[in-house]
Amino acid sequence: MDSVITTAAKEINRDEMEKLKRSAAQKALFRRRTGKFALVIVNLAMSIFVLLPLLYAVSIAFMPSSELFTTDMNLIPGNPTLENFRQAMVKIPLNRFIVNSFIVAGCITFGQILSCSLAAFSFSFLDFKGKNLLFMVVMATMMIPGEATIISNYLTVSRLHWLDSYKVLIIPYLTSAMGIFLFRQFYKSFPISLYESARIDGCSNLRFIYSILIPLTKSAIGAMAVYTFINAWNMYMWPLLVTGSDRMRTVQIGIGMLDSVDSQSISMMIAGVVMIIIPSISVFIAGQRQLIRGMFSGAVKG
Amino acid sequence: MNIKTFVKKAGPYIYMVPAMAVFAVFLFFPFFKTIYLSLYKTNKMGQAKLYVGLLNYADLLNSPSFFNSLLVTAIFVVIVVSVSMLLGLIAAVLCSKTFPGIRIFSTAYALPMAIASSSAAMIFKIMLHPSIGIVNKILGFHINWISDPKYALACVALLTGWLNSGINFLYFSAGLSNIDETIYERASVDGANSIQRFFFLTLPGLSPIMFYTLVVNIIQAFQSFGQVKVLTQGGPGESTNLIVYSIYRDAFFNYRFGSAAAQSVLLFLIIMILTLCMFRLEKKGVSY
Amino acid sequence: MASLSFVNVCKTYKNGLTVVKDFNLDIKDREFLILVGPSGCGKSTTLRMIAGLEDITSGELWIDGQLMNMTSPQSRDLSMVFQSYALYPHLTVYQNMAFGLKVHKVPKDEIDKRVGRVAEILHISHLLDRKPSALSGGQKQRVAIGSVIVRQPKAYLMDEPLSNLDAKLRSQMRVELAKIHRELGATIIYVTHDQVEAMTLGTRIVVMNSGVIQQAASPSDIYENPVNKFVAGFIGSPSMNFFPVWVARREEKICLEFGKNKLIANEICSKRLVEDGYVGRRVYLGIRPEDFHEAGPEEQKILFDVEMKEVLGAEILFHGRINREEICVRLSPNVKAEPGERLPVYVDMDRIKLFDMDTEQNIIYV
Repeated sequence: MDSVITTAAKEINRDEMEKLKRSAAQKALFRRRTGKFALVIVNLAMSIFVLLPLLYAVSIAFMPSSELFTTDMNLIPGNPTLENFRQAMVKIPLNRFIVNSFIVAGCITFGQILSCSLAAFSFSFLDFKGKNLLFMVVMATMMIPGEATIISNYLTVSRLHWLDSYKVLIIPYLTSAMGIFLFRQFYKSFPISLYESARIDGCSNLRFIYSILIPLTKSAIGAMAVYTFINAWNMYMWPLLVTGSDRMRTVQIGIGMLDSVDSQSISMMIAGVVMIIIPSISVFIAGQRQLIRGMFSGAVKG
Repeated sequence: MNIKTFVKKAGPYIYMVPAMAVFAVFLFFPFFKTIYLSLYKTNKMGQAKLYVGLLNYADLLNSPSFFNSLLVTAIFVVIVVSVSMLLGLIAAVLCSKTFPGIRIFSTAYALPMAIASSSAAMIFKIMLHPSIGIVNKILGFHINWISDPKYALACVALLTGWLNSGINFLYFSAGLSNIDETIYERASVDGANSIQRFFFLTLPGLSPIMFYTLVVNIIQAFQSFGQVKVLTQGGPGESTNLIVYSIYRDAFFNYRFGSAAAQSVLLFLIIMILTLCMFRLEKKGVSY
Repeated sequence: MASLSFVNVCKTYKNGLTVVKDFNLDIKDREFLILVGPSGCGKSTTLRMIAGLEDITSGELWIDGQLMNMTSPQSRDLSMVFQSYALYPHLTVYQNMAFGLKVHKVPKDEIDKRVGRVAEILHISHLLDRKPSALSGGQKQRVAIGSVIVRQPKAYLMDEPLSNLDAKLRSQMRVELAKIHRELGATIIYVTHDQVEAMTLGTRIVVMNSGVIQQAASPSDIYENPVNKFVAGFIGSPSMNFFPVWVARREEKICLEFGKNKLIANEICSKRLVEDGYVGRRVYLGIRPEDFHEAGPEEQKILFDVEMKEVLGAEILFHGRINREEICVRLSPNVKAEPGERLPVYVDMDRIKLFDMDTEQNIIYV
């Protein structure tokens, strides 16, 4: 019954109906397009807001210091220059600091990957007395905040005369509970039959780790590498305490030498900061997909 | 026991040696040493000289400066956690549906996690500069933010909140993607508009990850150091004297290692209790 | 309850793929209409277009005399059961069922009443305080259906609601759904790929393939009088057998020949074949397994080579070949034949169907 009536109604208003249909279709298309468009605009605004400090820093870094002290809102440098960067590298031994940081961060990254993957291998594939207890102990270390140990660590290393050297920056950080946890999660999803068949074939543990395990868990290693490198690069409190000479300073501490508030130095300081941010940001951007996958592959509480 | 069985039995432990050695020397030993030190007064070299039992703790609990640190730290943590979680949540929601360019924006929102606290502090120092800083230029004020005891703490807290928003964005994005798409469709057909869908579906769906994120954020906020050292050095007038900074000052400027150690132990206890309380609360909360 | 109308509806995705082509259908009030077809035929998309979850690229959708293309899903007053049930994981069963009512600002005691009543009908009253994670598949499914019933919407949409259940539960729920349809007097639009469900539940079936409606008719109509080869082969289990035959005129009779076999067409078939000019050409002959008999007139006999035998208790299915074509034959359990034997079977010539080789249309369609 109803459909007959509606059909009749349609016949009567054919023209109006055509107009309605066309405007309706247009509205739908418009709505869908503006929906996506609006999202892009809102995201653009939000990300500029989030990145504002960085964008601002880049702008100042390229701005000649004479342009800095004005009351106008100058966000974009009128005469961009590399002078600030050059000065920053000259005023303080920035190259040395960068080299130091690379060495320290690189060694820490490598060391953590090695020690954590080995320990996690032991937890995942081998059986031994006290395995669960030991694992709980390792996890418990995640609860100990840095402050509870930093003073004693300082006293220890100063007693050992390790101060102001690469060893003091690297050795205390050669392992991490989070790294062991991450690798263990990854190994959990590794088929144990692969390990068992390798053992049956006469493969030693080390050989197995080297030729089978490591190549197949590349993504865990990638994630760990990105995360550890960035954190090591950004370390502040420990290097502050244990290094003092220009020779051994890392970038985060060294850059503080440029810290002052007169106009010439501001541009130089910001240029220096931009330069030391670049490595960590680059590593992050290059490895972010690895990092995210590693962080969230079953390691998220839920 | 001959060599072969020894090697076989010791095998598993050997793989743990590098990690355990580092833990033993640089984590377990110093942890207990700190507790030990907190019971002594020390000389400038950090050697425990005079056993004073719980005197260091008593002094701290009677010191207005310590309570100021506690208060300042508490306010700081509240601001940091709310700002960073809000920023992270908004960014995650904005990136929940794909649109052209979403990869670039996702990278941008997560970027703050790659930036050192000291570097960020130096940038903020200039942003908050009374005459040339962008903040004053946009808002039209001439306030010297960092030197004003009213605003200094908020500045340090906002900076830290910004730094932590990156990782919160990642956590919330993961949490959002774990929510089943079809329940949104069902809610649409059931009559819920987008605001209702957000409050009735999205927020409850995020609550497991929100809890985890909250715990991680709080623990991280308590450990903030670099930004205080670079921006305010605890001042002006102790208004930004967070506990970690106070420990640093006590140990390395006043050489009172015993007192600093006691503060460390107290900080550790505070974090532990807070975390335990939160876990207890979570059990009563939203469950799946 | 509501009536719906599709007028020339098409759905094309941005990448150019057209999943629904020129869909025209009138759905009457209180129908149990079933959209059935193979995966990818566009049935789920069509259902989602009714719900408003998919945009309509062109054409009109009318619900109760109102053009609904642009209306948001929230305002259409429909209710949908999803294949995965889509239960809100953080809400109890009660809250799940109450959600739609809460959103529509129905007063609390009314919600209580409705939820209580529906829970009783579906036997889930004892589950009201549980969360979905503590429910079995069958229970989740009832909660999903319950949530849809309490809303009292204009029409119920169901997207393959039974496909995640095991066979026994599925047949139980089929009975329940039929009961609900009767008792509520509801308009139900139901999507499934299972033709048994379609045949047993629907008052009307719409068979779709590649986005196009093949036939919309009652179950018996579709079974007896399929419009083309696709529909004939899709509906009915085990499915219809097809093989090519030559239409020839031998001594005043129209014969259908294949290999050494010859069948004589009945009057109706003969008339249509001659009128439409099929003599001397090939056509498809379609015959359902159940339309073979173990005895009959000599002129209906064909020789069947048995290759495999499925004993189902009340009947036997023989799989084998007639003239090298694979055929399935259903016979009574009395028939004794083993793989490798040659069995004479008799074709019920009144029940065969004939299809054009090129268009695949049913030549003797009524």
